[in-house]
Amino acid sequence: MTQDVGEVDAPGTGASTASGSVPRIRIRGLTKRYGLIVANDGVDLDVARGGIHAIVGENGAGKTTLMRAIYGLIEPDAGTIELDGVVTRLSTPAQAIAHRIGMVHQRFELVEQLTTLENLALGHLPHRGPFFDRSTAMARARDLAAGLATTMEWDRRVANLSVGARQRLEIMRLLYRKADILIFDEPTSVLTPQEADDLFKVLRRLAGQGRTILFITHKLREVFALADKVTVMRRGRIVTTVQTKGSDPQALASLIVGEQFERPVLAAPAERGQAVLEVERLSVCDDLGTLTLREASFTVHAGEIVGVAGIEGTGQRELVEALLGLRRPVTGTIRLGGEPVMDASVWERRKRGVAFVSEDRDAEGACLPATLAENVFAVERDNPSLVSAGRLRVAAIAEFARSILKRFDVRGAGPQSPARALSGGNLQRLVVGREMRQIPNLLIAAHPTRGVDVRGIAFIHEQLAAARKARAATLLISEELGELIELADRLLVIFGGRIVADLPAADASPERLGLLMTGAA
Amino acid sequence: MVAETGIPVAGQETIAPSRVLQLLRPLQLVGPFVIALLVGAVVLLVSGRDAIGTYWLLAQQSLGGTTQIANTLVATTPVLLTGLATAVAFRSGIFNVGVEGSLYLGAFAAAWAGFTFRGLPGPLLILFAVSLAGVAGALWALIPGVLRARWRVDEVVTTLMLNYVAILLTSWLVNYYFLAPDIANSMSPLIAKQARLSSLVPPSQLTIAFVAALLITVLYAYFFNRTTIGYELRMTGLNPRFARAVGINLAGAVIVAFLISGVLGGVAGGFQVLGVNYRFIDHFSPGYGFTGIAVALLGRGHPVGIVLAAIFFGALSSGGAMIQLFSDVPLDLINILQGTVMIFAVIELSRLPFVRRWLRHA
Amino acid sequence: MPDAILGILTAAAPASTSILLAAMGGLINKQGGIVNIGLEPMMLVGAFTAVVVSAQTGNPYLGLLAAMVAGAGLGLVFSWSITRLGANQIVAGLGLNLLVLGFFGYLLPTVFKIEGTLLPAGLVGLPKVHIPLVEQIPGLGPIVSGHDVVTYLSWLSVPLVSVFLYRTPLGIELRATGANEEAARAAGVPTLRLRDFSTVVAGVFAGLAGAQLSLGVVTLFNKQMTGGRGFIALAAFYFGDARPALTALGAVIFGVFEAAGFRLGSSGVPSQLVQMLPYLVVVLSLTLVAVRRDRRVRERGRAAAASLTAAGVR
Repeated sequence: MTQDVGEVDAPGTGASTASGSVPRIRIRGLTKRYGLIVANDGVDLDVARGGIHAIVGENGAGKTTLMRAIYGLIEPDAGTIELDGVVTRLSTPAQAIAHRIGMVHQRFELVEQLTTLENLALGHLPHRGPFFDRSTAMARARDLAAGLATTMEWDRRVANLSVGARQRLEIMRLLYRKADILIFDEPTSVLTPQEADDLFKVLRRLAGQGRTILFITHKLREVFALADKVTVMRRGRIVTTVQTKGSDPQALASLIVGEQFERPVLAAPAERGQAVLEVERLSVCDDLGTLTLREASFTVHAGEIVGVAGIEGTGQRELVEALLGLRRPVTGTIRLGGEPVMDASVWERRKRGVAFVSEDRDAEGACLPATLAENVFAVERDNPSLVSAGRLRVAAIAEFARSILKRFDVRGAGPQSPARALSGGNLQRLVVGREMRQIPNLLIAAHPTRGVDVRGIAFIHEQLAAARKARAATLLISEELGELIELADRLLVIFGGRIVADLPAADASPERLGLLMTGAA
Repeated sequence: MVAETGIPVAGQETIAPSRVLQLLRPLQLVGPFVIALLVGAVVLLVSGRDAIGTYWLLAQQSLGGTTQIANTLVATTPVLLTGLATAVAFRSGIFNVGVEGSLYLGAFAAAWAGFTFRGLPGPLLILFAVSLAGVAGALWALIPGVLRARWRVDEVVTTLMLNYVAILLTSWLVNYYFLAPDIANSMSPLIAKQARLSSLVPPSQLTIAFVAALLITVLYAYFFNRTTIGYELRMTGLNPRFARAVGINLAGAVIVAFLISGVLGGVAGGFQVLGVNYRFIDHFSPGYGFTGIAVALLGRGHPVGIVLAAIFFGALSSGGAMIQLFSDVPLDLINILQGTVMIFAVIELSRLPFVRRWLRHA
Repeated sequence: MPDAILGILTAAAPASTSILLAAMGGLINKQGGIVNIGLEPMMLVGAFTAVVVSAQTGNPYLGLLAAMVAGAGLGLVFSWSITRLGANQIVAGLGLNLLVLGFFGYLLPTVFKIEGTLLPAGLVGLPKVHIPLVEQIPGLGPIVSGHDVVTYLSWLSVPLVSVFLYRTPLGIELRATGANEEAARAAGVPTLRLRDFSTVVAGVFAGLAGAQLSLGVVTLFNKQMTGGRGFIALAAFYFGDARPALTALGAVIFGVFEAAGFRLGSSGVPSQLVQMLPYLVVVLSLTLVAVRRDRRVRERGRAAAASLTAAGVR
């Protein structure tokens, strides 16, 4: 497989470093565990000086962990990092900064109330006597901007800067501290295409000046537009590192999403019923006002599971929030059973049969300090056998909770124990039990098997299949392609906030999905 | 901790504590009291007084006999109610420090009813006055409530400021429009005789107000544990994101929490008028509303805890007033104790360096 | 100019000095990220310390110095409880109010054998400063000249605080700490220490403010003498959105109201209504800020929608 991809750049062979033979960064055997999860598993990587090196992979592949280890935000359990051949300890960001490493995070670290200039130099403000030496700072600022062939309004408050300008400011902050290695985490996720192109120009200039650039992305287009080399990670390991020039995007995409696997034969193909959920040209903004979902249109029918594939953070959360009633869309319509529900509250939608399994079990799916019974009762607040005239029937609720725990095989605690006593898998069973006790009209399941043990995953899949058989309409959002292909009748692919594909599962292969998810198709 | 306010609430810690911390928990509940008493003892000793003797006198004067206990319970009543009022808000995730304001509005309303509707029979007048007090307190609390529900205006500062507005507003009303005809300074006319609550344990002023406060405590417990609305408020306080996702109307919950908090605060004021002062007196409250915050914190939102904390402050207050007669210890010692309790109720002792080191080795 | 207004303006300066100083201190504290409800007790401590030291030494200026040190000390301990021990700032502030009030209520009868007012022998107040020539100007003269030195210091504090916050590295880092502590910390700013620093500064200012009351406005100590000024100072810096010039304006206006309140009382306007104004103003300004914030978010949504239609279907 590797030969098809492109010219491999295997670490340790001392192959093609831009200048000299010592790589700028050499990582050997880097391992980091979070409990039972191995985020990085013996990672070996060489990064050449003066180049642009892309790191690609799905969520959970370990890319962010690796970058954070380089930037000193986390300390690895094993392994070494060498800078220019010297083993270096990078256990705090301050140390990384001292070694001229800088990182631009997805969520910018700017103080909105200060001006651009003040943010640029924050932490290293030059001073003349007791006063801020504005002219010195300004001179350096202008130099930096000129060096990047870009302009910046130095006296404006950052709150009034565009996102693209803020990112440029973040880059310049790194340069101000004389960063020589720059790390970016999904830099274009908040940019318009035009701003992204501007960013690429800046990055190319920086690389041309001899700086080393590392960036995480899931967009293959960017990899090929910008990077000299690309490293693919999966499940905490390096899959391969190749030169981008001459590489095959298709093969690369396959490496990202994993090998081919057998698609288990689904039970008899569903007989599609009526349209339960109709979404038309739905556009949603996030809290910062950035348009995260653009003009999404699709339909989910009764008895059908529609999967939504896509790297997390490309619009799925906003879609879910709009469907559930947690966020008002900017434009578009949502119809449930033929009726528009744009003005319906969350509770009203739930009464119409909408069930929701959240991707954030601990913070949204469940209430950890509350008891299991209280967690289960949350959606039964108008159940006449549990509530009468606003009064809770405590015994009935406890019995009800017990029956749910039993039916969904939740182990580890009883109805009066707090939810935080349960393991992740059991808590998810509880949540699923709560939401799917009755067959919903529309089930929105966001990453339902995330952080769940194998037994639990199988159980949840069974529940989804059973709901489908019972004519529920399901929208399944997941990053596990295997899960999607196995369960879904149809697949939508989201990339960059848009639905870029709507195809029957039969036509979906991991390769094709990989390309679509990375925007390379 | 309750999500929004960071206020500790009994049995609802979000982080599973280590076993050592679990051992510490009863200490955390009793800690502030003990430290306050220690601080008081130090103050007494440093000023050349007999600490143990003073505390003994305090205990005797607050709990040492029927009349003393009755007086303690009289002082307990308002702070029990304000404590419940504050706790309702805290448990719903609302940082309401404006109960003092509701107290004043409620007191004024009850007094007004009491001296205006002199023709009504006793029970009816009392009922009317108390109800009006509750309504007044609720309406006052609705101001910051709406601001928070509609525009997410942070309620801490608004409720704090509105306290002083309420005090000044009622002061203006009583001095300019409702002054007692025979007295020149700052008091409303006396309420009708039939509106005055009769003493259960003469000569103390213990009235059914205390009984009512206890009943309200039971209602408070019932409300939060056995009603749908109470459940919704509790979930909102513990995890607003979860509450939203399961369809709880957060804005509605905010309003309801403020209303209940306001009603209880108003009733507290009303009972003070009907049971103790028999009129509205300008600036009558020695900070019942603020003490209520301490009560809610110490009791950690738990009904029994709140009652105990309220009795503690009631004992301090009534005992303190009495020891004035038997010793030269100023009443302000009580304020020292109260202030210390408040501060230590919100300090996380586990963060002190030596405690942290001990925990790590444990 | 009618005599009444002239009278008010003349009284405005000394009446609002303590509020102005405390407000400046509270402003700096707020910029550092702490809402200081404890300005009142800090003022009281300053007032007391100033009186005691001035009486002992016969030197009011030493009294001022001592007041500032006392305020700083109290501020530091208060700050530690918040930044290191995780105390809730509002509750801690309320507790501090109770504690200090109780402390003085206990101290006066116990140590000084006095019930209400402390007037130690040898107490020297602050002299009035008369500026030659200026004080001769009719009308303006008495307004500007003839005040104690702390009043003039308070006027000076406004531009000084402004320069500090906006033109010194420390001030910029302080503002960063209050605005976005995470980002400031990531940039290497020692945020905890800065927050403590801001509280200490608030203590210094509040202590000085209290000293002005006990050595300048009157020459005595009484445990009620701050009379809510700490909270009016809070109202001032909320009104001024923690900006020096606007806060100063608020402090002066509120101070004038305080002074005017008593005079107006005799001419029909109830003093309570006037005294209410600062607090109402705070509630109003907080509401306006929130409404504006909501509107901005809604506008951004509308702009996003417009950009979609403008771009057509891409």
